[in-house]
Amino acid sequence: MSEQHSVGNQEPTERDIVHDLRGPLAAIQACAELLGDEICGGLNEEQHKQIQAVLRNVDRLDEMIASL
Amino acid sequence: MRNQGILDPDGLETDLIGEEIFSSLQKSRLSTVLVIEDNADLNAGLCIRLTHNHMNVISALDGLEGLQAAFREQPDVVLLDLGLPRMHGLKLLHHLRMEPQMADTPVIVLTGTDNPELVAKAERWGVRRVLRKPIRQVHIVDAIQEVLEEG
Repeated sequence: MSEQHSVGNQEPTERDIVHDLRGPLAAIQACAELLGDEICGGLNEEQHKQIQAVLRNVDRLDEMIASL
Repeated sequence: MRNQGILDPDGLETDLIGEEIFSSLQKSRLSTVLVIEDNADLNAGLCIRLTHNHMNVISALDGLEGLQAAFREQPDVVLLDLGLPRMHGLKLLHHLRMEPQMADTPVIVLTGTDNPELVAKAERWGVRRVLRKPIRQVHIVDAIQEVLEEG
């Protein structure tokens, strides 16, 4: 839930949307990092590449969200 | 030299007891971090990371639960989201600062907000760091360790 959502049924602002998008994105990033750092078990080379792809795209999405 | 009893000629039991005591002593020296974050996946991920980095971790998924955990556990550091259900992070922070035992407990805010007013208010109430989501976990761990070293 956003901390900026206004009272009642008002439409969320851009700031609300930005905030709400960052929560799940942060969770995706945290999970990918745990996997990439092999904290949850070993990975092969290809699996490492896929995790790096997830993290690269988290960064891209973060930039896109910041520019909203 | 280890004193082995007649009933424990190989010292196996003594070793186990020794390990248990060592583990308990080691745990008691670890810093305790309270993670208050309502995204359950992020919360769980942070707990795994901080535990991996040799910290005791307590977690709460909403503001009220977080405040109760803070008073009960007296953590060394609080990692606090702002947009929390049941009690906003700023209100929680205010309650912490009103409690003499928790007034100086280091708080690190981890938030997705760009709202400068909220951030300024948190800083006025003495948060040590404001980290913006998403952020690499290494930066969170570093911030916690820095704050612990600052005392």
